[in-house]
Amino acid sequence: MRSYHFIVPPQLLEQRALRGSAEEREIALATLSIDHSIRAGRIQNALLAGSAQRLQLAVTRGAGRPDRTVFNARHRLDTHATSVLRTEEGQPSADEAANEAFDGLGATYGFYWDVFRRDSIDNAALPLLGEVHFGERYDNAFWDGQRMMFGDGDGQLFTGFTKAIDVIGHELTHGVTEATLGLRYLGQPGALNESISDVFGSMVKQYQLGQTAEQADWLIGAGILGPVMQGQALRSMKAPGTAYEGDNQPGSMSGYVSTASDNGGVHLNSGIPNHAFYLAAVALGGHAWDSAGRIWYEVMVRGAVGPQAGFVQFAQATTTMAASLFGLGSAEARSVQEAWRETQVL
Amino acid sequence: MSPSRGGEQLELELERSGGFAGLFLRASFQYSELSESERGAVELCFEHWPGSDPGAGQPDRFCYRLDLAERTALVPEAHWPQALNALLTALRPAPG
Repeated sequence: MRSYHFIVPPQLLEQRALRGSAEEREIALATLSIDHSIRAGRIQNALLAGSAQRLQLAVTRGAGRPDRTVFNARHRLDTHATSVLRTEEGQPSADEAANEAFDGLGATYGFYWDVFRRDSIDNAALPLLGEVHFGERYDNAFWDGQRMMFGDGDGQLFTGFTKAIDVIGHELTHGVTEATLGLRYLGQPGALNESISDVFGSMVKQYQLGQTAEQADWLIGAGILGPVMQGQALRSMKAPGTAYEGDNQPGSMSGYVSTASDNGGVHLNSGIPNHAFYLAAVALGGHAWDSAGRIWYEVMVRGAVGPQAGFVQFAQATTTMAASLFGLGSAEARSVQEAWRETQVL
Repeated sequence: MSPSRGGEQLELELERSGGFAGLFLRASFQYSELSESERGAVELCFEHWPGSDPGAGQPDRFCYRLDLAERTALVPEAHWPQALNALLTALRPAPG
């Protein structure tokens, strides 16, 4: 029997099964059936072996399909959780946060795959692991280098961190940055690290909503603020410093903040490159990921700047990349350069 | 460490920054009103994490800053002593 074997991504087989000729459809369905049987057998063997880790390894995925597992941290902080709430093969959980995390991890994976053909954080199908209910009333979410941790929030400052897809996109992008540019999390390289996470987190949300740059709200963390926070979100890429009462993010170098706190103000000064991306994306129009997003992504994966890069180096790298990808004097190259000028970086 | 300097009560200032949100939260305490174990933990922070020059951190983890008289400590979240967790409940949002 002929088959496409497993080099062919399952989604391509599914397309063939839906839209191909009668022969292609028959082959595709047969291949998908075998693929499913083998996977099911591997899962069964792994389950018999009684190891969640082996189970995870056993479920071999084709490119374009995420491998997600969401664990229950049971309000602990000190160790990686082993209690599984949801897997790729399992049914939706009774735990709402687990489903939200699962969906957000999938949406982020889908964005990177669909737009950039990037297969997970490391572009090598790294399983996406998340933990919900991390800590007691924990007001944070973060990527620890292996897993994504989600706090439930204290109900005052924040509600659960799984509720906003851009938060999940932001955190997983820290993993992508770690795997590509390795930007040092301090001062200007740290603020660039933060900004890149906001840029891609926002694009994950825009992609899911099918929005153009003009239609997007360019807010980060909308929907997770508790009653103590007066505002609409945590950051505004469109108008830094206006997201909530007390928001001090600058949108240009004239407002640059020098501080020892927050690893040298990484969440404050990220407003400057955030705003530059917004200006470039809106100037170019259409979907942000088609032009500005592509330029930022190529700077990352081609390692166009080093781990200690500051704003000027990054601005120069994106301007050069825009010219390289779209041509000298192109609208993309001019818009990116103008965005950095407007934010007073260049 | 004496709880007072020249008869003046020492004030311990605590700040939490960072996290995904990047919010700044602050609280002040009379040093003399801290428990013995809390004062001991504060002293260990000044011993192990002295100075006001930040080091590179981990993305979106919290950063803690303690100020007492002329002394400053910047403590990464992973090293925050459990003995000081009770102080965290007093933190309130403050301008960056």
